[in-house]
Amino acid sequence: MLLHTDHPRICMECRCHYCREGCTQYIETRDSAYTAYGMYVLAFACRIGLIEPTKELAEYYQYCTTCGLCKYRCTVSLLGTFYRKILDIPRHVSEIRAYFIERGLAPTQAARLLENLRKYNNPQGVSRPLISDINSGSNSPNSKVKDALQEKTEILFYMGDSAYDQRNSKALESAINILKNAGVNFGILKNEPNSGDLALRLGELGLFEMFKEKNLEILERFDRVITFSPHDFHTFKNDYGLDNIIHISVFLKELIDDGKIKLRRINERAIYKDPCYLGRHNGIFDEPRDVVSSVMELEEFYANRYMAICCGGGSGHAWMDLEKRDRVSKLLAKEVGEKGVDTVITACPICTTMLEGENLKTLNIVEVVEKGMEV
Amino acid sequence: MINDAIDELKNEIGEDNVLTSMFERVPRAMAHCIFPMHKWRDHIPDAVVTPESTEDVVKIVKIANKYKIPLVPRSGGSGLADGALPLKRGIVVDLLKMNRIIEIDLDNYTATVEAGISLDELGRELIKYGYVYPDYPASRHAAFVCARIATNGWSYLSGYYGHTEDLILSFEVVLPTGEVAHIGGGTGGKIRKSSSGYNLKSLFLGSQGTLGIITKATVEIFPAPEVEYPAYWGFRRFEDAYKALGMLQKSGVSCAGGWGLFDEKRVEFYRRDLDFYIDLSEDIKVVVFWWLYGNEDEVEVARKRLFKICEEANGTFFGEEVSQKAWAARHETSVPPVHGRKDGNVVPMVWVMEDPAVNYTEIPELRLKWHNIIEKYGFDDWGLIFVSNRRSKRGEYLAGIMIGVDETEFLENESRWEDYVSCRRDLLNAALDAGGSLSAGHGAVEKGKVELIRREFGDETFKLMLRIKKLLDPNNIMNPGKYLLDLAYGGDLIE
Repeated sequence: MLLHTDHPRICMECRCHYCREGCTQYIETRDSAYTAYGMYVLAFACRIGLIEPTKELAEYYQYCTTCGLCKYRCTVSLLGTFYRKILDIPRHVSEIRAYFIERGLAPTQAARLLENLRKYNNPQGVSRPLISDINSGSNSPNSKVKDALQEKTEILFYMGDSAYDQRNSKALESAINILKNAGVNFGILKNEPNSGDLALRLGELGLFEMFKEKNLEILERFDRVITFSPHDFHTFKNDYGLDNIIHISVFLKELIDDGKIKLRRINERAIYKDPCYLGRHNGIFDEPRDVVSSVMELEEFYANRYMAICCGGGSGHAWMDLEKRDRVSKLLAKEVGEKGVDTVITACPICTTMLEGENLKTLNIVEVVEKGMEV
Repeated sequence: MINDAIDELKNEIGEDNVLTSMFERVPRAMAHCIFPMHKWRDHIPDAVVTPESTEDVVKIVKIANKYKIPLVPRSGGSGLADGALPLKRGIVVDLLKMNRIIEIDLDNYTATVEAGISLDELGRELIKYGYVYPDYPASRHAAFVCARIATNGWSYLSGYYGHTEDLILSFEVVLPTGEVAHIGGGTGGKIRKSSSGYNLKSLFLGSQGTLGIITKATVEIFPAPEVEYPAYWGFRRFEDAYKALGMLQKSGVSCAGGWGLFDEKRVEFYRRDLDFYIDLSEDIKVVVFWWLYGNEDEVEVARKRLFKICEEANGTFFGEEVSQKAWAARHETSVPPVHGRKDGNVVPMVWVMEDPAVNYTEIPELRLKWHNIIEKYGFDDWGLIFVSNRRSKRGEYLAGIMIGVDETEFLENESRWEDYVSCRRDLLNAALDAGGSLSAGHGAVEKGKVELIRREFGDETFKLMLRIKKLLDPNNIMNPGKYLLDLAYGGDLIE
């Protein structure tokens, strides 16, 4: 258990506070106690018996989005790959959360999302996918999408929680259109199990293992699995250890390079928001940029790539109502306004939710491609 | 009493700005400086307040006076002199919610910010216009503009731009009795040089929160330099490197941000885990480095002159790429606690840096003394760095004495804390013996150092400090216990 390792001690004996700048929680609360520094120091205080691991403390550990920016500001982690692995802060946060959940101290809002995951297979608590007509063979134009298991397609398109969300299910339909038009032999799952990403981030390891077991058996049957959400991508690739996983943005880049999608340019300026779990956690920066810049003129946020600021929606925050002073997405919206850009492009459904919440014109990367396609 | 004060604070500045839970108080019991971990509980503040305006700060100060409760101002918590450590518990005044950049005046080259704006936050805003605020402590990524006044901070680029004291034009301070004073800068706060009356700016520089809470400051900004040119040089003998430093002082180059030296022990330390940006071969014993800032043409001329000096002193240039990387990492390389060694094993240790100011001529003898003292107490010697200390870059150096100490050891063996205090006292007494000052940039507040202030200042000057403190802070509200100032309220030193 993390509390008994040297990790909190390493931070405790440094206290440089470099993790603060750019930390989502710091931006939203202006309180250093919510940064990685605070989290490690309190873990260490628990270890030496200075404080008790109470429900209140469990609630406190809810505030991190596990965006991982701190890992790239941490002086311990900066100095080479060996140390970067030592302070894998997002993983440690999940471990600390697991410690509380094992003791029956699940934070209130996390408990609600976990209950939704158990009951409805999605954190939103929506009883059925909003694009179920894809499966049902109804009169929807998308209804001819194959059932991946029945028709044994080579490629699976894994939709994730977006299927339960009004806004993002539209983007899913765009993705399906593109794949169909590009002649990709793909299918979807009629009953898609949750990836378990959120369960793992929130520290509910039992639930995660259950989802993992269900998914592994399915995912291994396909040559390739395209994921719509970077969070599912990360979980399948790094937490399941699968190597047949590809994020939709990278797959689109392949289709463009192979000439299967032809795009025309649009006279618009857009800014690309790096999703934490695609960029920082997995090093995928160039492919989505290449895709967007083949349609629109591309701008950058001041903090981008490894240093990109989180949208504030990770770790279930998009569906929680935590008491905060501000929203980090507002800061991003301010920068978009200053740059005078028309549109924000994301490659993550959670980023879309958070940024649209700031009244920004937001497009998922698949919608950019759909706009630019010569159909 | 504290509960009454907390209730009143909640009424005055809002419940959201009065924090009382354990997890909000515990991380604010210490700062970046070495900490007596076995006494953690004694330093946990009773409450934390997070004012959102100067008016809030005034209310807090008045309530603290009414109930006679200590106030400890805090921003980055990255200070290396215990300024933000609640020595007598009380209320931590965390200023980070005062986060407005009030004005950027590109025509008069000034920026005005509130106390919760960090150097990085201001830098990020200024660079949009092609400007910089060149206050570069080693802790650049954690330090705050206004807090740098209270610590009288030291900057890496002082040789070109000056230290915090040179960059601050004026500031607003809430005095210990609740009045708001505007210090320096003429009526508009943007005047750099004025001879009107006492120079009160200096009084608050280095006050470490004992004379009030700085809530706003106007600073001088600069167009971003065209060129930043660092150069790192390897030397086989300390004597050659020391001589090179002397010749650099004579060079008359004004566009250098400064120059410095890593001694043998420091080079050995960098070699430990092979993650420094310079591949330090065994025959390199000492490193000399300098950094140029300015317009392309002036830097080019200066670069040639400094190259000649280092070559003549038998230095080996590590190359531009290595130098750029090593320089870019300067804010990180000194801090990490993961290079410590105890009985040959890697052990997490806090990085301790004593930072006396010493004259050039004293360096060769002092460095031997210092290494002997560290060895005597059995702490992990992380080596010495010497960096030029003023705009002239002549005659005077910040001596960084780097030591690794395992703080968790204090939990089992309290005497190791006392050992460190004695070690610090010996190190700094040696600096004073050699005509130096206790601290070039961190402040002199910590145990083992603070007792020597009287020696550095002399009794009469120290008494003057006590009188000033009592005059401004009759109830000893502001950061009590620091600088031995409690003596002003009943000790035997002042009549």
